[in-house]
Amino acid sequence: MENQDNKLQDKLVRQFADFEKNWNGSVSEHFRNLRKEAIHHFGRMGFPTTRQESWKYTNIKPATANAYESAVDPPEPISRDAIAPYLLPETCRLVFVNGQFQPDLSEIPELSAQMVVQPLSRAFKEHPELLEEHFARYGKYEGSSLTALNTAYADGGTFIYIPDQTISEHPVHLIYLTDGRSGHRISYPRNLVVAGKNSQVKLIETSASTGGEACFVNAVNEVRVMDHAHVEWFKVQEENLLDFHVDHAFVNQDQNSYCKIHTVTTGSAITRNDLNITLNGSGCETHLYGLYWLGSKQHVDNHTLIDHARANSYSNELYKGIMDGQSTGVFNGKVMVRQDAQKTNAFQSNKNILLSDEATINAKPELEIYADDVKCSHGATSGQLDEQSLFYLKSRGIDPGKAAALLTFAFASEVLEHISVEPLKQYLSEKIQQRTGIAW
Amino acid sequence: MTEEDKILEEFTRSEYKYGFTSNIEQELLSKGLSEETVRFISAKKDEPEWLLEWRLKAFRHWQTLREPKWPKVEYPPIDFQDISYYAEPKEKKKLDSLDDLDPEIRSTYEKLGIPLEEQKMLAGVAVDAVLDSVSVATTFKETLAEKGVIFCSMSEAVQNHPELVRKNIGSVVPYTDNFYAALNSAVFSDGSFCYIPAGVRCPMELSTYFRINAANTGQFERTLIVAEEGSYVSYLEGCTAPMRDENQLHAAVVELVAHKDSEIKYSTVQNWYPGDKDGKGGIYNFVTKRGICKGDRAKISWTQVETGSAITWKYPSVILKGDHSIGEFYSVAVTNNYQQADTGTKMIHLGQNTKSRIVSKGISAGKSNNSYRGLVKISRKARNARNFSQCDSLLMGDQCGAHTFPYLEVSHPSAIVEHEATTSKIGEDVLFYCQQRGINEEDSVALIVNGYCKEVLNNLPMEFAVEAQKLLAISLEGSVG
Amino acid sequence: MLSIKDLHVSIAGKEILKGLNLEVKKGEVHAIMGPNGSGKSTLASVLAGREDYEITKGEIYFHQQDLTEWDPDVRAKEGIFLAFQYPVEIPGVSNANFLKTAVNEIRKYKGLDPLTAVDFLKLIKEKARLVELDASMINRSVNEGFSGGEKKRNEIFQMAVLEPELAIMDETDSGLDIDALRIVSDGVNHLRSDDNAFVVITHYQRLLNYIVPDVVHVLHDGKIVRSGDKSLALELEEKGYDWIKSDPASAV
Repeated sequence: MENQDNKLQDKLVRQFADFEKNWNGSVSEHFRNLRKEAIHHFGRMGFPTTRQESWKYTNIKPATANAYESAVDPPEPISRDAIAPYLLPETCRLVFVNGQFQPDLSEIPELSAQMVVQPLSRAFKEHPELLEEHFARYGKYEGSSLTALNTAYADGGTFIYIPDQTISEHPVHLIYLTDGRSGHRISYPRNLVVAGKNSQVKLIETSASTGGEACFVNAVNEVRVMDHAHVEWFKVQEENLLDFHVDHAFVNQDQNSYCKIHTVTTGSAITRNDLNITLNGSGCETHLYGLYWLGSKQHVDNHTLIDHARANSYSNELYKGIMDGQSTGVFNGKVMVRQDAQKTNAFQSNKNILLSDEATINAKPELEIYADDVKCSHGATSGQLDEQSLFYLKSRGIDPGKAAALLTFAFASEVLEHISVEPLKQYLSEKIQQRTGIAW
Repeated sequence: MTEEDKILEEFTRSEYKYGFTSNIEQELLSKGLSEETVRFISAKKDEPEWLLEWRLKAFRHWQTLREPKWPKVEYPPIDFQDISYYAEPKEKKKLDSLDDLDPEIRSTYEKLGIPLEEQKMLAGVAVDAVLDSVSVATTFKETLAEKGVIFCSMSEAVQNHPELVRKNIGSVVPYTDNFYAALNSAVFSDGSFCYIPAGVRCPMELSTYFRINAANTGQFERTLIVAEEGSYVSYLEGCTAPMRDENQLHAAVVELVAHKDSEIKYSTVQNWYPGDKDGKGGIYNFVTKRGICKGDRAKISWTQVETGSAITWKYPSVILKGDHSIGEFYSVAVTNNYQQADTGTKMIHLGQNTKSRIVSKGISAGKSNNSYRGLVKISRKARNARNFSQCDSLLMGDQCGAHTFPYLEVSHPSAIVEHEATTSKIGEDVLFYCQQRGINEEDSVALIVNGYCKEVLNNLPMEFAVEAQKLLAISLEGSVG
Repeated sequence: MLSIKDLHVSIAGKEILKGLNLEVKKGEVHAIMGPNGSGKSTLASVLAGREDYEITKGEIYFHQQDLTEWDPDVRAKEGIFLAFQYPVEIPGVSNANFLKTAVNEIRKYKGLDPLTAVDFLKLIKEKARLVELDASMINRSVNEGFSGGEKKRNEIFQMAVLEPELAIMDETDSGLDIDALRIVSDGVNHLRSDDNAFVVITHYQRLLNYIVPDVVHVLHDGKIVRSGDKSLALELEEKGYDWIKSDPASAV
């Protein structure tokens, strides 16, 4: 296994030279250097191992055992049916397959003045100054070799720029499809979102797959939320059970900004999500919601960090997990309150239900606090469905299986009810209901 | 290898061959740690061969280990070759009367309300009172002997009850456990040994006896308590009086073995020298404490009040092996000035219907850092396990840190595991309310802090609970305002 | 006993009291009424010495001594008691322990020996009866898990035990049902004597049916705009605070 790790690592480092050649001088020196440094960094660090505290519970060796190739050019044709299940009405939609933009499947309506929603590869050419200002400014790769790997290769992904005072009319829906039909694929989705002062935007990010061989998605997201901006972001992860998904997100909030992130995970063999939220200004508000429903041998690891750097901010976090089969859930939520962040209020809760004898949950909620005038709390629980509620339902004539399904759905609903995009909420509710086996 | 080296090697070897131990009386063990040091210590204590072998294995293992870096504490590197690993127990300097005692220490004794006789004993004042205490101790010893309870130093136990020691030592904390446990196993100086026969309820708090007989057990203390089926014992380690020690590094190991239906209650009050107001000096307290509930319905309860040491690094743990066994951990950790504490517990649920409860109260003041780190592990077979953890942190001042790092690992669906933690400031409203009733600020803080820690203090033996309350107030003096 | 002259008080730079005058003599009960935001609770807090309140102008004398520099506990030891509008909870500290500490601190200040455990127990049993406080509450943590009514009763109980010379009651009636109001008032009336004085701060007149005041003051916009006997309270109840608000000048 150790060898395989190195094999993939060496291959990815080696292939960078070919990747570099394809630029043909179209990439500015700034980005050329950035990418070179990044691949160098990845080459030195390699893939993370369970010896690192932040990867203690997640072994990604199975993910690095395959001989992945990048997307072929031109890509294999893909039918509209492949994305049909994920479509939502009235959105600005961009579809990517193995990281490559699919104009035919996408639908970008006329946008508010000056607003930019386009594939990152185009943004490098059309908005070099904006990219230079924001790209890789929030997502520092020093602490994460996978972020470094993404930084080196990233060109598939979306650039979203909402100018000051602008309200995005439609939610932006990004669909990332992995296609393993012709072999193992690795892709590097990279989204950069810049929400200007007093702007508003809602983003939906769907990760799914067509099937075939196991694919590896190594995504990085960077979000800058400026003064008084309002960003909501819904991540829906439903790739097939062979795939591997690693997602690092870096959110920087300026003063009085608002950010809400939902992460709903039902797919992939191994999923690792890192949400790093830095509250750089005072008066920020942050809400993180997570739901993971796992079966078979799935493994999901949610790491969140909310870094309160300035005073008077508020953060609230609720992650809920349902583990069936031989699945493993990991939750590591850290709330950091720095010395200047007086009057911080931070709350965090992680609740889990194990449905099977062979499921596991590893939870590590952390508080690291250096300011005294704060109110912070966290809680973590693991248990089963409430016996009394089950009994109550059964005493009303509901059969045990259905009673359990109803309660499981109710458990999940607490997260879903905070989704503000109605069609998405509906979509996820139905999906969860199906999974519980409730027929309404 | 040069000729010189060869000669040197032969010479050193031969020295061993002809009995390095033969002339130890004249040898003065210099600083440094090697196999020779380990042999020296073992020989000095006239230990049986198996114990020497065990120490050597531990030493060889220790050499392969590196110092742990994961605790949230910072300190300059320790030079393990710059420590003297064996010293003859030093006679405490006898004072003629309490008037000769350092006034600062004396005033602390008084604030703690330690009885005069005991003050003299702690300070090493040579007066008649000591004679009384010896007779008191003798009475205790007789009472214990009547019940078949063995309570003696580890060195004595090795000589008088070698089979009991051999069977149990390292059975809960093997020398492979961690860096400091390995070091302790190789060079442990002395400690306490306690054996409660089946069905015996130890007739007294072993604390009382212990306090009067507290000997200088050195920096690598090793304690072993075995409670046979259906027995009960309550043991108190340490005392509230400030303890000064020349040795900066303390790496103790405590092992508890609780058989079927037995209960061990282990309480600690730790008040080692924390260093001065600028963070200079102070003890590094790196301790491994673990108990095993071996049989069904066994119970182990750890209670600790930690106010001392520059750095504290300890996680008294319970392995819940027997079905229906119970583990408890109650802790108050206070850090002030530049102190650092990284402390908590591990509850390892292996048996069915096992229960654990964790109550941790951290108080940070000054420029200190106080971390709770705990693990609750529910294994695949631990059906119907229950855990409840409550970890609260209180902050006093804006220069200190309070951190909580709980690990929850649950592998059985029937488990109910609940962890709650809060961090907040000492409430200005509450302070004002107390002051409005005529209680000055310092006393108000003491009152509030004691209330905050009550659940833990209630688990201490009565006489220590009172002293511990006072100790908290003294530790936090001048930290508000 | 209490003399307040031209008192100006600000909190976080905002002026709340704007030249308040008040004279309270031994044996008197003064009621202070006023609409929300008029400065009633600020007055109570300033008298008890809460931080955050800045006296920008004016004087407060207690027995001819300037009390403005005294710490809150010194004021309490000198005999000023505040019954809080929102009594706080102190987890883990029993009522008995709390009060014993307070009583003996105050006794020490006055040069008296501390009460013995027996005498203290006798004292609190007697006073608990006064406010119909269940004996079990004495061993519970201060206000923890108490209902609103129980908290207010506990305030009066503490007042009874500490026997202050000047008691300030900050909206003690708020949130009380009629039975609790009667119990609290009976307790206060029992404590009234020629040697002490009460300042009763309230929004509603109803409490004053039970605790009959000698003087009623109306506070508006940081100043006492009108003073009179108990009939003023009734008049105010009838006409409402808008009467004062609309034309404070004519009301004076």
